[in-house]
Amino acid sequence: MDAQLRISDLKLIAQRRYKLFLKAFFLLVLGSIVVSIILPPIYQSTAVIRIIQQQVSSDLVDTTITGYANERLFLISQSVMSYKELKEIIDGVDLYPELRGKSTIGELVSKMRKKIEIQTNESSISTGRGNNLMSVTTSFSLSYEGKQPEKVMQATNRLASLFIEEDVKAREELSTATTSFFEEELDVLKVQIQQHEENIRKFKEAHIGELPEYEAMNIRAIEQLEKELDRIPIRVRTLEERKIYVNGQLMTVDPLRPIRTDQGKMVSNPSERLKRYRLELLNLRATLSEKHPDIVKLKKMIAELESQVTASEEGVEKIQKLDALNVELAAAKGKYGSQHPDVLKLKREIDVLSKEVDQQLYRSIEMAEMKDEQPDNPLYINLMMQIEAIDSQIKGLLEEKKLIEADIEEYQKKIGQSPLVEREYSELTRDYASAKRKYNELLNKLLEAQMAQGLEESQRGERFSITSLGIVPDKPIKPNRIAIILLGCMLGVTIGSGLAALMEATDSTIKTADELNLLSGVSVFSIIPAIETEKEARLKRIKQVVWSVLSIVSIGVFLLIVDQFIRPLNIIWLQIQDRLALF
Amino acid sequence: MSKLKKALARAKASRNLDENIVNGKTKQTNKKSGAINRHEDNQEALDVVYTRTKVLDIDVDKLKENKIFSHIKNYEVTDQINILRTQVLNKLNEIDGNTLMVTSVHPGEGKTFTSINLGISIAQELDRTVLLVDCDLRDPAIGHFDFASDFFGVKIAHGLSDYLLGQAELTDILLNPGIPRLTILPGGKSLPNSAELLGSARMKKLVEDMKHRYGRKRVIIFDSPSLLKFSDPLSFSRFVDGVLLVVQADRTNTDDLKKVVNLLGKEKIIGTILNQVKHTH
Repeated sequence: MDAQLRISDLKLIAQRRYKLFLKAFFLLVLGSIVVSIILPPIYQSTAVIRIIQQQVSSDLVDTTITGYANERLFLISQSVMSYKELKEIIDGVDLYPELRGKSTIGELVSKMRKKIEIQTNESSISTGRGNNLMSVTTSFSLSYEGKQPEKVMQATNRLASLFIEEDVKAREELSTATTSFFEEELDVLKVQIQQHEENIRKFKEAHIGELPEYEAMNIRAIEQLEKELDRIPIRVRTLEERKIYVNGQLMTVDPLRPIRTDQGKMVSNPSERLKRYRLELLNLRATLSEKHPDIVKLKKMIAELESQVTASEEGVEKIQKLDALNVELAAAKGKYGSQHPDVLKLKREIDVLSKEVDQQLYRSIEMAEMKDEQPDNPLYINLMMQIEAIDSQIKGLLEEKKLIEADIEEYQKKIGQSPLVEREYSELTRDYASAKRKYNELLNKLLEAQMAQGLEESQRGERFSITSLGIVPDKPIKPNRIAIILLGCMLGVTIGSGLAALMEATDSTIKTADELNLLSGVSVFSIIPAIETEKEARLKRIKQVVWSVLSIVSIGVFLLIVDQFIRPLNIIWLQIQDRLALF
Repeated sequence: MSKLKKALARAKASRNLDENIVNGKTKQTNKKSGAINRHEDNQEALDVVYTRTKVLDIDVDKLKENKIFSHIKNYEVTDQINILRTQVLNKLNEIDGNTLMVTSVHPGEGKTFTSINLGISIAQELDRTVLLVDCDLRDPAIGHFDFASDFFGVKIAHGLSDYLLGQAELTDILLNPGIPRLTILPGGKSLPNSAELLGSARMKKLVEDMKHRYGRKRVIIFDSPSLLKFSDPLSFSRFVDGVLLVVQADRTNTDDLKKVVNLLGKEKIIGTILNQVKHTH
């Protein structure tokens, strides 16, 4: 093969191969024309569905419908294009009537599925949070293509409404599921919280006053009690002093009412009484015998009185001493404090003395009682009562002291328990607090979910909405006849040239004198052109005529057969016109 | 006879035309031409009187029908044939030979057409005579024509094959078809063993006889079968002075050509002819 092709060579090649090229070209163009006419027109109907963003700001209601519209769209389209739904549409609209007998429903469904096209339209919007631009699907178009315009429209619109229905269903399910989930969880938590509260209450009951919040109070109580405790001895002291004083007074008072003597004098004190008694004795002795009971009694009384007088005299001394000791005690306490050994010694002495004084007092009372003589001196009685009162007061105070000490011990025990109790208590409260926290969080979520559900139900959530329904298409989208024919032309050219080139390439015959010269190495003497004799020319012409007649006849026969056995020609002609008109 | 006269007259007239044309062409196209020499030789027309050769009428139309045009001067084909003739004659002068074998790679490439036309053309040179020998002795295959019957429209009783078989004498088989200075030796009946016959000693002897008998003034053209089909012509080629290879355009392929060239040997081939060219520059 030549390394280069000169233009003259190309011209020669063209001359040689033009017939082949033309044949291929015309065949292909013719074929494409036929194909473009034969192909049935396919119509397409489109519905546009918009994805409306939710109408309440998502800061207020963070809808539970998460996930981008694309994913949801995909899922919904899966369920819309399921066997069941498509079958319904095929039956309802009566699609593919000509294939009903031949193909199974499953095949028809797959066929239909392939003819459905979903195209999303995206736009960039900025999301609420941050200024990122997101590509979001704002709408999508749903198309179906088929042979009959009316049915195509119906099918498209049915599909569109299916989409809407499925979307609504899916959302409702999801939001309901979410709220019921939260509700269940909340119930569980509520029970837990109540349990905790119960535990805490029981604990508090069990450890009243041991809780740390009581600590300050306890300490204060202890302080108070100690203060009172401290006060008691003082009060006791005071009372005892008063007792001594009253005792002193008592000493000077005759338990009996002052007896009016003959002279009308009142005799009250024991020594006076003694004198009287003695006089009485004399009187009695005058009339009665020594053995007389009155006299015996009197004698006893006199004896008693005598001891008493001395005793009372002693008593008075004692009382006076007691007074002095008390004063000393006060002074010593002030100087040395109440724990000093001198102070303590004084206290002991005072105690002893007080006891003796008391004894004396009781003895006098006893004496009076022995004689069946109740002390009837109101003053005496008054004083006695005072003393009793004081005594009981002192007793009361001492008891109080004991109680207070017991209380203090209690409180101190409580304080001691405090750390342990505190730890346990804080554990309980911590669990309780966290349970409560969880509960609150869930509660918030539940509220949000409920709001979202409300949003869905009130149709304000993100949802699909039909912007435009499919219309009955008046022009087919396929086949693009012009494109097919152009393609045919292009193919014709390509294949034609390809064939020509192929023939050239494989043609290793000798064509030019130069070739012959080169190959043989001998000069070419002459180049004789192809000759056609008249006879041959005539024959050729006859052949051509015969061929054209034959082809016309065979086309005629072919058309006849088509007319008779396939479809009448005039109908075909009308169809062709139809199709061509749709250009 | 009138026909013959007409033919002769036509021949004469065209002879002049031929001369003009030849002049024109030779001056332009033939570079290595002994054309001028040859032309000068052409002082006296050779008038040949056939003593032993049969003289026949020819049918011009038949000739035309069968593409034999040299005789009629209206076609461009004839120009090419004349160019061919010029070159062949020059070459023959150069090698000092007069026997020529016309063959091709495949059958039907136009050997017979070429040889006859060439023969007739040379015969129009007034200083030459031509003997055309049909060496293709096999069954008529596609593309093979029998000289006498197919081209010249004459029926013959015997031919070369008979002679080679020893069944006829030269005088019996030579004929003149009515064109001056042209004699033909037809092939005769077809033989199955033509290969051996062609290469046989008898053939060789015949060739040598013819060569020497007529000298340089008679050109002998042997129309032989194609080379690749059978080996006949190869052996025959050794007997002749030169081989003319006829190649049909758009048919013969390069490999085959190379094979043939190698078989014959470049020196033996004095020239090639590209035939049936459909598309020209």
